[in-house]
Amino acid sequence: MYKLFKSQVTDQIISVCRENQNNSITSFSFAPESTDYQQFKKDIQNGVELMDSTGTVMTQEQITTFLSTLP
Amino acid sequence: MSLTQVPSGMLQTTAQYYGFKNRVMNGQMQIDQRYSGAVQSPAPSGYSADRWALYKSGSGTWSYQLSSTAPAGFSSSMLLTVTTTETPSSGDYFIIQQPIEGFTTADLAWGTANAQTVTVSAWVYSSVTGTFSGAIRNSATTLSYAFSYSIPVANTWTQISATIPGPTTGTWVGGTNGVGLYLDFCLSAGSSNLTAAGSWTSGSYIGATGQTAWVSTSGATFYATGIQIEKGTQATSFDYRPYGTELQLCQRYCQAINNSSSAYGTVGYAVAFSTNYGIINIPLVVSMRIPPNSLTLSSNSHFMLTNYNTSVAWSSFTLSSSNTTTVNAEIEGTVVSSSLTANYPYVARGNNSTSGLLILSAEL
Repeated sequence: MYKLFKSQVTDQIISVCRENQNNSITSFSFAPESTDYQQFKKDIQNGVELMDSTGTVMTQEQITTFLSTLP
Repeated sequence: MSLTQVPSGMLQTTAQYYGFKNRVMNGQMQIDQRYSGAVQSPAPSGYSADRWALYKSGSGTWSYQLSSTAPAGFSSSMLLTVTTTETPSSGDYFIIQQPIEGFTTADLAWGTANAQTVTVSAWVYSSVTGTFSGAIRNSATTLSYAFSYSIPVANTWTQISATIPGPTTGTWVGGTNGVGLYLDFCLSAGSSNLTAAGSWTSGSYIGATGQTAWVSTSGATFYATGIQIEKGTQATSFDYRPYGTELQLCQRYCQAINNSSSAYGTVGYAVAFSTNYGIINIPLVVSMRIPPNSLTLSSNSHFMLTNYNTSVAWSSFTLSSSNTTTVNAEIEGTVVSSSLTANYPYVARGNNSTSGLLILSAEL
């Protein structure tokens, strides 16, 4: 499961967070060269759950719209 | 005083006596910033020991750990253990991989008429005997050279090597901070990931035809250490580098702040953006390959902001990518209560926890 992170400073979504198998938390930016980001895109296209920054699970339509804004 | 003439060959880089000849980092498997030697089961999908990534596809599972089992001259190795068996399907694979940066491989002149030959060597130990393999690929994974080797005796250290002629064709990134080459050691793979050993082949292959299905044996183990890629036609002695030097080389790609020795260890210096939001600057100990693009926290609750009057645990922190550079990481996020004073300075430190671990990654 992934969750978007919204910055109070910029009021923009700046990263996405993922809970790992060992319960640690990884957050990463939307950098095309990042393997975490590449895996994130694959995962949510394959149906892994994505929550918005408030913790609400996003619909497939919302995910598709969000994906279209990413690099 | 009489002077002794140095044999001319000793002064040539082709003699393979020079230092820093090994293009692999953490070939001795001594550095494990992410896991500090703890067993990871299942093994992580991605980086394990510093600079070494584990990737698999298939229903089988494996665990990862740094081990003190090692051949003479070494003190540690990477240990992989089969935890769920499978018979690899065509597209399956289990590999240990190190992407090596272009700046570290540019002098090999691959993709040109001056392409240099390299030799890969390693110490391996497996409970399963047979033919094993590996490969070198370019960054686009459009060109591969598979090599194979034999492990004839179970549970015995075997030194293996493969000499690989430099490719005069193909796209290689040269002197950049991108992937100069991928080095893969294959433990199991399906047929579509394997090709004939001993020649450069178009396409992406991570091992050679005949690869043993290691993952088909319950509890199978595989250890590796002393991994080296050097210019030249033969394997020479391992390029031992000082631990501190090797750690710094690895920190170009990953830097961890580990509070195991200090429950209140300092992470960085912060300012409160609002009553529940902080911005923390973390100076990086060496310049990283690129501005780090991922942050891993053992747990937000392992860290806090404090001004020695008010202390408050982190709730959710992330990298501030637009303000992070190769020499300074900026992270930002919320704390568990609105008890900060906006615009006041704070210290980011451990929250009375020796489990605190903060990892910044700029890996390939």
